[in-house]
Amino acid sequence: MQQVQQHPLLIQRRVIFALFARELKTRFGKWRLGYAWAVLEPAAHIVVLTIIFSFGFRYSPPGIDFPVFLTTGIVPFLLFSHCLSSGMKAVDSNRGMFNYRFVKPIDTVIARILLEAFVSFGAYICLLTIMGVFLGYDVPVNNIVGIVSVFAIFVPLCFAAGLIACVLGCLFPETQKALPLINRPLYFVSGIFFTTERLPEELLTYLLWNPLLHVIELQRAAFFPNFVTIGTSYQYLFGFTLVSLALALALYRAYRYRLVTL
Amino acid sequence: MIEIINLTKSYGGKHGRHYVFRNVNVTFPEGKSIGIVGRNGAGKTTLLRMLGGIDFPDSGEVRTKKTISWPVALRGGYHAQLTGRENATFVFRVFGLDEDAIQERLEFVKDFSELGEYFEMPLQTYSSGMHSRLGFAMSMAFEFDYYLIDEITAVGDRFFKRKSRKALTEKREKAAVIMVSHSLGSLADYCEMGLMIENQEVRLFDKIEDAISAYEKLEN
Repeated sequence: MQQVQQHPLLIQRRVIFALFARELKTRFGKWRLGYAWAVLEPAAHIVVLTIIFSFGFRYSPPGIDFPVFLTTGIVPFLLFSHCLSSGMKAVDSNRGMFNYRFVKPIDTVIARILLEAFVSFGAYICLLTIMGVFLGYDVPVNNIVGIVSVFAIFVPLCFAAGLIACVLGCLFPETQKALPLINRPLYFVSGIFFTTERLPEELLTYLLWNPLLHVIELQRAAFFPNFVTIGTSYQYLFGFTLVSLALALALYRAYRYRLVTL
Repeated sequence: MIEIINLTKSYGGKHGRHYVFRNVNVTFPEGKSIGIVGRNGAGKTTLLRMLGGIDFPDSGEVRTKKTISWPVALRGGYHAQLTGRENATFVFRVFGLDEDAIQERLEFVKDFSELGEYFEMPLQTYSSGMHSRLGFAMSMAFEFDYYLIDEITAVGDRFFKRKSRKALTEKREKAAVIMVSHSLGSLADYCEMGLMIENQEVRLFDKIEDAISAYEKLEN
């Protein structure tokens, strides 16, 4: 009857589906407004940053509405940051599930990254619709293929980051404390509220190491016609993602048994 | 049949490596139920977990073609924020049942566990007895060749005990149990053979009574 000999990939697919369905119910479980948070969180960032920058230093290029500009930076940033933190806790919060032999630690990370990606796309579409339709901002979606391509590389990068965070977080619980130390500075160097075009060249050379800056700029170039980005490239982003994936999977493979039995 | 081949298992800690099993070789014969005895910390639960495929030996292996349940224990395997129904659905999905079969077995679990309306409530509202009733009902909803049971035969009130004893006895017609219990009486009730864990090694007895008396001698 059950436990028919099945291909491991089929087993993994059904486990990820079961975990995904479960995470869907618990992701915002304790919070009163539930899934509205997915939109409220980036909206809060956008409002605060818009107010701060209304006093000056506004960096959005001419012809682009500042709140729309911010949205295209905040949403990918929050996706990355959520993937780091929820990946880090994936194994701990699912510990009881390893009671069932088919459930592997990596499945819990995959399920969580998928959920974060869906939540983030949903929020993105909601925010842009609200801005375009109800608030009257100009929301150009110039090159949809470009936007999709960026995310097709970015989501695997988020997975790699989440998996690395997961393994390190289990082996060294101290890393959980160090997470904000990575997240906060990233907020300021990922191009959420500036463009590469306006940066001095000496600074740009360093900031271009950060793949998030590439993600945000490449996407903006796909959203806004005539958007100028300097030094960013799909090649770098793709290469960075491949190397991170290799590193993440190697790390996971080395410690996969310890993650379950810790 | 389950073969344990050259199995070594240790846990590392700050105070050095502690060996639970060293080069253990043992074969559980086809269809025989086995009661495991041993002192606290001897490795009874660790052995069950390795048989269930959720803990892993340092070297050696557990080899079998039979289906083996997860270790059915007093706690664990469930999410506190989700209801009994949601938790059960999760387990059925993980084991690859289709939606029709899931619905059918959810009814079985709800009925067997006697949880009533608590089946629709989060597990954090459950008492420990309700928790174990759900756990026991879940394992009874599957047809395994081997059931791994960790101290859970004596859960619930008198009526539930009687029912679970009956269910387990029925399962034993087609399946076997491998069980850990501090109640030597229930080991003798359910098991034919006995396995004693002592000094990182195991001894298999053809009769559970012999294992129990060897264990009692050990204690003195």
